[in-house]
This record gives sequence, C-alpha cells and structure tokens, in this order.
Amino acid sequence: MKKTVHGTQYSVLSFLLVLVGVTLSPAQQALTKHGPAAAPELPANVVTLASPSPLYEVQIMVRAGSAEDPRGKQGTASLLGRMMLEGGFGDPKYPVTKEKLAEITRPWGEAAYPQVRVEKETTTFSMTVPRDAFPQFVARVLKPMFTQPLFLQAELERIRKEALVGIRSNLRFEQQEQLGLLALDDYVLQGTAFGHLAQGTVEGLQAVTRDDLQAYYKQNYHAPDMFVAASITDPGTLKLLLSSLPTSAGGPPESRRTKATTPTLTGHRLLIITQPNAIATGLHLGFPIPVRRGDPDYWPLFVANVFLGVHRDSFGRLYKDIREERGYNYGDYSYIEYYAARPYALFPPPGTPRDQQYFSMWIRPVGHPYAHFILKAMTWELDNFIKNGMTREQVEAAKQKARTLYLNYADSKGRQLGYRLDDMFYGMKDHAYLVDMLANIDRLTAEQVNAAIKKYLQVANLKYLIVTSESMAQKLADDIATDSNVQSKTPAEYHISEPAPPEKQKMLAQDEEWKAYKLKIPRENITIVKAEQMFESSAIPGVK
Amino acid sequence: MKHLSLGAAVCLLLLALSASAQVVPQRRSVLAHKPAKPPAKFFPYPIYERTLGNGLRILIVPTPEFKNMVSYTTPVFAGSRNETEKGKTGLAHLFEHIMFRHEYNGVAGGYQDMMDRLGCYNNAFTSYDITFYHPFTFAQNLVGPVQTPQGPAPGVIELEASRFKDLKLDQKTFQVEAGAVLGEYRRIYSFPAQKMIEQMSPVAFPNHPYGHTIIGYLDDVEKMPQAWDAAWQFFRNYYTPNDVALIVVGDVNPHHLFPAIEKAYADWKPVPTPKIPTPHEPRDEKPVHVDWEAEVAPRLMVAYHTPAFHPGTPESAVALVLDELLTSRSAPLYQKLRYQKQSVTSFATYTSPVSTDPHWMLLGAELSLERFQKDGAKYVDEVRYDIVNGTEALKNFSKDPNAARTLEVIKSKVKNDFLAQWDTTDSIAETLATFYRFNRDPHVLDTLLQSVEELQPADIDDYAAKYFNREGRLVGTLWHGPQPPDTAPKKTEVR
Repeated sequence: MKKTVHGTQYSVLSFLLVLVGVTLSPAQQALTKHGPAAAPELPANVVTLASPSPLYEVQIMVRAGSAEDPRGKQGTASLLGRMMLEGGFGDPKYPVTKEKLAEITRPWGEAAYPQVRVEKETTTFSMTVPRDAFPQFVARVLKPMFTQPLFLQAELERIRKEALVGIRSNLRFEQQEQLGLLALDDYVLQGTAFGHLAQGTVEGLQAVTRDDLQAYYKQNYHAPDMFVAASITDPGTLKLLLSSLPTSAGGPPESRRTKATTPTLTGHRLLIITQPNAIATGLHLGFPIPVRRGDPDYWPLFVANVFLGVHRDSFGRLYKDIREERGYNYGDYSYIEYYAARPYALFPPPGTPRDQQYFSMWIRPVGHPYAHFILKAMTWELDNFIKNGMTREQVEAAKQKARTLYLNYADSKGRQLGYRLDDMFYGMKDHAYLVDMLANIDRLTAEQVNAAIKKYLQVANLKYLIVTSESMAQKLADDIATDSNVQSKTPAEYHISEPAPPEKQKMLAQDEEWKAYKLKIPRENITIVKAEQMFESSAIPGVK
Repeated sequence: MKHLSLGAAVCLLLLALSASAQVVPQRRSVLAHKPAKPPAKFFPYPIYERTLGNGLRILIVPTPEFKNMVSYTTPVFAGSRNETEKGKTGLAHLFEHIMFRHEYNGVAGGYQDMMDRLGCYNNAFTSYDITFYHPFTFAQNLVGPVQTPQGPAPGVIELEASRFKDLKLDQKTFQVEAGAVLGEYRRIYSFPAQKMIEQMSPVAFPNHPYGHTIIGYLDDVEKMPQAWDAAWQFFRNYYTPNDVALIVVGDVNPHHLFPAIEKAYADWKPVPTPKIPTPHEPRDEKPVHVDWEAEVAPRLMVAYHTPAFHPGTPESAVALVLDELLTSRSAPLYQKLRYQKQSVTSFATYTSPVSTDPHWMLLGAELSLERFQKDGAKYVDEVRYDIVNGTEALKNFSKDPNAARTLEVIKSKVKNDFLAQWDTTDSIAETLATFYRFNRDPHVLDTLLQSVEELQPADIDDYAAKYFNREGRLVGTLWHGPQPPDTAPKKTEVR
C-alpha cells in the first residue's frame, strides 16, 4: 500500500538519491556535474522531489524574517508567523480558528497541522499530508490560511503573552546553553538589522499591533517572492498547491529587501551574562565572515571546520582536546554558518539560510573554576589552527567525515526539501547543495583548505560571550582582564597517577601553554549583564 | 523537526523495555532467508528475521528508497531500569558513553578511529528500559575490508561485533568519560522539568529503579569515576546476545548480510540476565515541590501510575492514544487550559507509555508568572484542579455522544503519525526496536496498530477508571520560593 512506485515521479528524486552512492564511484561522481533534472515547466521558485510515501511533504519559504521587523516592533515577523496559523483565517463569519484547524487536520496526522519557523531572513511553513487528503487540505487549510488571514485580536494577545514568557522565563532563566547561543547571535550581529532575536524583544513584542501584522503580511507574503519545495510531482496537484499562495499582496521590490550589512568588530570584547542558577559556565566566541553557500571558498572552509569542531561529534579537535582527553564538559564545537535549533538539533535544520554569516565557537558549560582556563584554551586552539593549518592526512580525514555528514543532512525527504529551499535562497538552484556536496568535498585539496583557513579565520578581532552564575561574574571579569587566577584541573583531578605517562605529560605541558596564552581583553571591553536585561530591546545594556 | 504529539511519544518509545529479563531459549540458526511471516499489513517494508545459536536475534529491513544508506542498530534491552544497586545510578547511560571508547585491535580510540575512517555517523541513546546504538553509514561499509582514503578498514559489522563481544578499555579512559557525564548532568539540570522529574521519581517509585532518572543522581554521577567495577558488572549482566538484537534498516540485501553477521557474532557467549523485581509501590505520596533559584514561570506536574506496556492489548492501545485525548491541540483539557482559560502557556505529556514495568504518565504545565505573582499558589491549585478533573473525566469518555467519532479520527491520526515518522532509516529501526523487545515479534507494529484499530470508547472509560484516580496520583510544583504551607496542593479529592 505505502511504497508503490509512482511512475515518472522518480525523476528528480532518483537522481538525488543516486548521488548518495557517489561515495566511491567515479562514474557516479560524474553525474553531479549535470545538476538536478528539474521539470522544465516549473516556475523558478518551485522545486519538486518525487517520493514513494503515501504522504506529501510541502515546505514554503517567505523571503522575510525578523530583519524586516519595523523599528521598535521587533517580533512582528515572529508573531505574524504564528498568527497565520492560529490567528484565524477564511470567511470572517465562520473563521477557521486554531481549534477548527486542529479539528480539520487531526485525522491526517500531527504533521498536517502546519509548522512555522521564523528566522532572521526567512519564514518557513512546513506540513505533511496524506495524498488522498491533499485537495481537501488545500481548500480548507492552505489556501484560506495564506490568502484570507484574519489576525484576530484576541489571538494576538494570547500569542504575544506566550512569546513574552518565552523570553522572560524560558530563555533567560531555564536554558543556559540556548541563552548563550542566541545572545551570541545578537552580540556578533549588533548594529545591523539582524541584531535582535528572531522571536522579538520584550519591548518590541509589546508594541506590535494588528495593523503592523497586516502591513508586514502585505509587503512580504507574495507568491512570486516565495519559494516552494514539495514531494509532489503530479502536475495537477502541484498546480493546486501553487494556487494556494497569496497573489494580491504587493510584495517588496528587490531593492527594498533588507541587505546584509556586515557588522564591524575591532579588538577583543567580552559580554558576561549572569544567571542566578547557573551551575556551570558556558563559553562562546564569534566574528563575521563573508563566506556563504555558493562561494568558492565555502567547501574548503566547511572541511576545515569539520576538523576543528564539527557539531555534536567526537571527531573535532576541540572536542578531542577539551572533552575527550580532559573531561571538562559535554562538547566543544565550531561553526562557519548560523546553526539554528541548538542545543537540541544534532544536524543543522535546513530552511534557515542567511546572507550574513559568522564564524563561532561553542564550549558547553564547564565547572566555574575552569572558565578562565578554557577561555584561553579555546582561543589558543583557534590561533594554533590558523598558524599551523592542517596536514594532508588531516584534510583527507576531515573530508571523509564531511562526506559522512551528507548522510545525516540528506537522511529524510523533509531535509532534502529544506535544502532545496535554501538553494533557491542562495541562488544555487542549479548547483544544489546536497546534490553537489560529495563531489565538492572530493575535489578539495589540502592547499585550498589551508588557504581558506588563513584567509577567513583570525584571532585579532573577537567577540566573546560567557554565561555564568551571578556570584562568579565580577571575579571572572577581573581575572580575565588581569590575566590572573587561571585554574586547570590538577593531575589528581585528571586521574593521572605518578609518574605521569608520556602522553599525559604532554597533555599537562599543553595545559601550561594554554595558561600562559594571553587573551588581551581589557577590563573596559568587558560588560556584565544580568539575564533579565537581555533581549529587552535591540540594545544590550552597556554594549555600544 | 516535526512536533508530533502522539508521534513524539512514539519517538520517545525508545524508552521501551526488556520485557522478559529471563534468558531467551537458545535456538538453532534459521537458515531460510525469507520474511518470517506473510507480508505486513501496515508496516510498509518486509522484515527478514534470523536467530543465531547464542540467542542473538537479527532483523533486516530492506528500504531501497534510502539509496545506499543503512542504519546498523543494536538495541540493548537494558537501561536505567536495570540499575538496582544503591549509589550506582546512571551506569546504563555511562556505559553508553564507554562503548565508544573501545580499543579495537588493542589501539586506544581504535574503534572510533575506524568508524571515522569508514565515514560512519555513530551515536546512541539511553532510556529507562533500553540502550540504543545506531551507527548510520553508506551501505558498502558494512562488510570489510573497506578501502578508505586513510587505508583499509574493517566493516561496520566487524567493528560493532568487536565492541559488544569483547569490549576493551583502560581505567583512565573510563574515568575521563565519567567526567564527561557530569558535564551532561549539568547541562540537563538547567531545565526545570528535569529537576521536577528527578525529585518526583523517588517519591513515586521508592522501591523500583524508575525512582531515579536515566542520567542518575548527582552524587552518583560525581562518583562515577570510581564506579569501574560496578560498570563492568553492568556490562557483563546485560550486554549479552540474548538481551540484545540487531536491527538493520536500509538499502541492503539480507541474503548477503546474514552470513557476514553470523560470522562476526556467532562466538559471542550468552549469560543469564538478572531479573528486575517489580515491587509494589506505595500510593500515599506526598506532594513534591522544587524551589527554583530564579524567578521563572511556575510549573505544575500531575502524574498517574500506569501499567506496563503489552503490545496488542486494549490497555496498551489506550495508552497510545492518551496523549491525543489529553494534551493534543484537539483535546478538551488542552483547549480549556491553553485557549479558553489561558491559565497555562504549555501543556504536554512528558513520558512514554511504552514501559517495561508499571511506570507513570506525567502531564506538565507551564503557568503564567504574572498571574502567579498576583494570585500565588491558589492559582496553581486551580490549574491542578482542572488537570485532575479533566484527566479523571476520561472514565466517562464513552458517554460523550461524539465519542465514537472522536475515537475514529484519533485512530486515523495515530496511523498517519506512524507513517510520517518513518522518514529515515534510523527512525524505522528505533520504532521497531521499541516494540520488538516485548515479545520478539517482528510483526509487532501490525499487532499494535490492529489493537488501536479495534479500540472502543468503553476501553478508554475502563482504563481511566482503573488508573486515573486519587490513589494513583502524584502532584509536583516548581517556582521561585518555598511551597506555602496553607495553599499546598492537598491530597483530597478535588471534585
């Protein structure tokens, strides 16, 4: 019943999947040069992938997110995203309320209730619907939702209230790691349209009105300006899907779209955020980089980063040195792109593309006494990585690990579709990220990888961010500024018995080198804020 | 990621069990390579099953549309439920970490190096009842030797067999890894819900290992570097072919794989696994309160003792739809709390019903800080009243004139949730492992869905009357500050 083959629907999918087999076969590698075989009649903003599943998967990306929030109304895009689903739609006399929406979609499964993800530059809707229910789904849900939103005031108030709890309570006081990660995103991008939380700020959320939502909707929810990826290859069904998108809205001319503005950054700066209940200290650093998907240096830098700190994997050097060899924490990673949904997601969720990217490092919480030491260690690791680069063997090993990531990135139809949305965002529809990934990795040389490290990574201009407990912050700031009280684990704490074996002697010597490494963060460049001061507005108190 | 209400519960089912702690009778290898039963009615893939002479059961599920991908998974039917020794909680999870440090061929880190060399994504998780290892790789990496850019490597089958049969590691490595678990503890316990579950568990289960959380108590986690002997004992007890299965899902040919698997695992010696007693738990629990250090939105949890899961039974079929009846967007209780009264900002089920021994259903709500600051614990009491009444009202489910229709819609939803969830080789293997353990029936998913299909409204009434009552209830609260004595949740009937 389920996995029947639907005739010609295999075209694009089978191509994509065949490429998984590219791993070792030169003949198959050659295939990647031709790009995906998109059906010629499809509009430029639509991609389809065939699937044998009895469920259709649909993802729709609006090319606007929180960067488009009106001044002082941070949170407009985010509230609007949820209001599209829960704010009522259709005939105002008989609106499809959130309760009605749940009732309509219930027999089709949880995934038929649309999900929305609002990011800084995009808003993405996704849903999975049984094939035989799809016409009904379009008529009763998708079309009225996109074309006749009602923005019911009572729902706005309810959603606003929940959004405020999300910041005031959940983010500030309950999720130390997420607080650090999202605060770094604001901190590095400060002074640009991207420098506030995608979910909004407390002041902004309080200021958003129903009119703001309508204006944002009119300006940005515009069919020709949206991207669609679906596991639908039947032309009639596809036409039905596309007919559900809003066409009456004006849409922004290309010139009005928010352009990425690279934030400026000089010297070393540190923001310390305090939580009353932090039982350990989380460490981050970041700086903007101009590389994004589609750039020639993207893949060399990708492979370099896999070696330094691939997310949630024991392969990276940071992980090996800080967690595996020394046991300071749960994990240590680095990134060349914004990575949404941390700390939970094991792999980057697609559908979160950005024009403005930054390099970052994330050291998961370590015991308070070691925070200063590990801050030095992470910086030394980056510095050393830039100075020494990678050997040929290391590049080959990292390439192999990078090709393994392909498996995870492409493991489901939903992910494959999400990457196709991103491809359209980055203007690489004909050089699809996943389709070309293995071939792009295979052809890299050590020289290209090392050149990318030298060209884009640096330690001269860094923004550091620490999340720690209130009682630790002041002393930590002073210690860092004065380069004092640097504490590592003792040999006993490392469980090293005397006499220390040679590899442990080497490790201890390395610790000494880390301790001696100079961070050069003057006290005036260190700001301490309480968690409750974060995300109040676009500004971070005390940070220019 | 999709947010599935029932689907999410099903995902968590990874929290399943080792139904029988006794040794599986040794069997001779089944030589016929054919599906164990006629083609499945609901599960969309064929399942090839074989049992080795040492009791190791192997399921191979070819899924050719995941081209060249394969999940080579090993569910160990033991989890934190099997930690019976006081002061030694968290060992199942610790061992999950330790397994990655296997010294293949006597080389420190040798196992993981070879997996990296192959290009194998390698991860695992631990739940109350199961520990699940799930390497994910290109199909040609299963049988070695495999030529890689770093030289030849053994196949994944040999590497996995090696660490399960013949784990080698040095005590220092063990101690460092035990330190990493402490980091994980720190990370998890910045979440209020986790802290509440940690403190409510021993009150609900003073005599059973469900009384501690999967990661273990902080004291025990801190002492883990000294738990070398206890950890090995845990390994010897439960990492044995009769308490483990192999579930391989992907673009593979079972006829090629069975001989390679048999060759690698046939000499693994089985040992009897200890029985876990299922003690009677008291029903006179005191309310639990957590004083959180920061001013957060208050939390309320209402738990009910629930029965062990037995796939195919009406009770277990009810357990699979409870989420939908109580905490889904369409559930009357959810709508009352979130939409009509807006007294909570989130309301969800925190537990999986797929449990080896009698466990609990934990309903959690997040309340409004603003209202709490105004109305105090009275407000929390009001929400508790609504949750308790809404849950216990299910004993009258069939009296609703729409009950039959509602149940039919829910059945359709459950099926579509299962289908939507099987979107990766990993998730197919996980779901299968979760339910297969109970009776070692490869067609258990069909049995399960059939039992859901056959549910009648009166089954809901019966379940609720039996389990959702004052005797089975436990309430937990969390906010900044102590629990005020005069307004503390009382154990009196709220109706």
